[in-house]
Amino acid sequence: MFSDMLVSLVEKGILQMGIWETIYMTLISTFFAYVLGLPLGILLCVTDKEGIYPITALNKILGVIVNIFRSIPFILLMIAVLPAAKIVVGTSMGNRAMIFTLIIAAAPYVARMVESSVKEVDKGIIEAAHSMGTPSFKIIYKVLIPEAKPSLITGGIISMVTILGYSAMAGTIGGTGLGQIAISYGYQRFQNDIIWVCVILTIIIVQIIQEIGNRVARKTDKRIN
Amino acid sequence: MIELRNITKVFKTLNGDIAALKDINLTIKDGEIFGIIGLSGAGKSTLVRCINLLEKPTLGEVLIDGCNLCEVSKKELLKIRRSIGMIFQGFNLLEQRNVLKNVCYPMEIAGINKKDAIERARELLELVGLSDREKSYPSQLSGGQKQRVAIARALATKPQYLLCDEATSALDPSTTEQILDLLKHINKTLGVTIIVITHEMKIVEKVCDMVAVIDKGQIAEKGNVKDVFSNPQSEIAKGLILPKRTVLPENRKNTIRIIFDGEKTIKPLISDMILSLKLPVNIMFADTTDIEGISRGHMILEIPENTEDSEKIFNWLEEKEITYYKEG
Repeated sequence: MFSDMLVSLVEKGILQMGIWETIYMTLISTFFAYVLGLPLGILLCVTDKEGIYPITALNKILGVIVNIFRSIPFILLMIAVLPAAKIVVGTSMGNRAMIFTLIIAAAPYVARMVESSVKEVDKGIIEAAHSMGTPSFKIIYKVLIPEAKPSLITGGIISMVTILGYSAMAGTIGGTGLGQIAISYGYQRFQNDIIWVCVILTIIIVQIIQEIGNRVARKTDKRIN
Repeated sequence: MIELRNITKVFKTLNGDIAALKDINLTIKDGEIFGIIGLSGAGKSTLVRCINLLEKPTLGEVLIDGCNLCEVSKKELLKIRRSIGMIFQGFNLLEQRNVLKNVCYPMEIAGINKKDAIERARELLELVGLSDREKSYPSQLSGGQKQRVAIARALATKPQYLLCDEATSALDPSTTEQILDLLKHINKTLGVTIIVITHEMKIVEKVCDMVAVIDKGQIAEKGNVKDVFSNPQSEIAKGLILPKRTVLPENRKNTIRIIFDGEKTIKPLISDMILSLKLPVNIMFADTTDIEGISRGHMILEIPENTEDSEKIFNWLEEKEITYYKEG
């Protein structure tokens, strides 16, 4: 039923390794994409002319930078930032370089996700915080982030799934994981069953992430339970 | 004491400047419940936001106990805001915090230690009658309960002033009554000066000592509630205070409006008049309300057309010291 190559991939543990590498790349990249994207998203929201600390010029500049990164197709952006990866992480090959490119590609996306979540916080609540003498900076971490938390978690899940998709593309330029297995063992050697197995495994991983995320978001949101 | 001097607020919009407030002067004395009443769009919400500088006036001065808020530093302003509580039409509670933590919030900001804050929060929840709901989240509360939490939160930093921006507009009549009673109680027991913004005259009638009627960004009329309500001078005040149906058809000529202002209403005035003058009168409208335990109101009478008879009525009313106005 299965090709010899698929059987040997499982026997040698390459497929299992691929699953692990995909999960690992996704988690690490998502984490660091948020390290960059969360403050950037909050900054975009806060400095908006309707925000709590309007700095229109900074907001415009950040907006343009984010849009530039967001409009370059990921596969091209990945190639473009490889030289930068060499400088920052010391190599332009392998998973370390791939994680770096994933972070750079995902951070602007994350920033927009964060921005839209934070913007959902009721203006009235922010006004109440002002009326109680809250300094702007405290409004960010006492009001905006806690109030936006369920939405931020939902956004985090969407970002993570997107990054998982990107990680498969990284398989074409030297990354590892299920994407790379599907491409180099399945597509390039005409083993359709390997492609399908990789696809199904990816779907399962996405489902698990989504399910866990939904539960966490629901549990955190005090507006519904 | 809150003094607003020559407050003007201009909003810049794409369609040009809009003056939301024009040269407003108001003095609110300590311990008062001061009502600001007006139709929507009159500028009352902007005005109340000028008191704690959520809106910075374009011109003019806001003096809180003699301190000009427009001139203090940002840091100082944040401190002063803690002495001015505020509640809103939409309650504006932190949705992701439970009741107790909502009440603790302003104390967290003010840097009060956690133990003291929780203790004070519990006292306040007791005051507003929600001791048993401290673990609940806002989404689990009714509108009236949410406003009670908001009141407790607004009082947490022991403010001398409480601003209420349409605080009962989202509530049903009986809940409104309860919230107004609570505000009155707070004013009496804690001595908090309360500024009430509303478009409903019933609210002013029920709780306020003083009232300012605002129209198109200007104060149309101000004074104590008794005077303004029993005898409104401005068109806008008349419109807000006297129900619409008192506007009479134009062909009604000989009508007078009688103003009741207290004890005199206890006597059967109209029947006395009819019996002693032997003249027919037609009651076209009557409305009395209870303000501070004294009943006040208006009655519109149609009186005989001939001058002799109407003179008799006027003389009789003057003799009894009843205020009246010729309507038409």
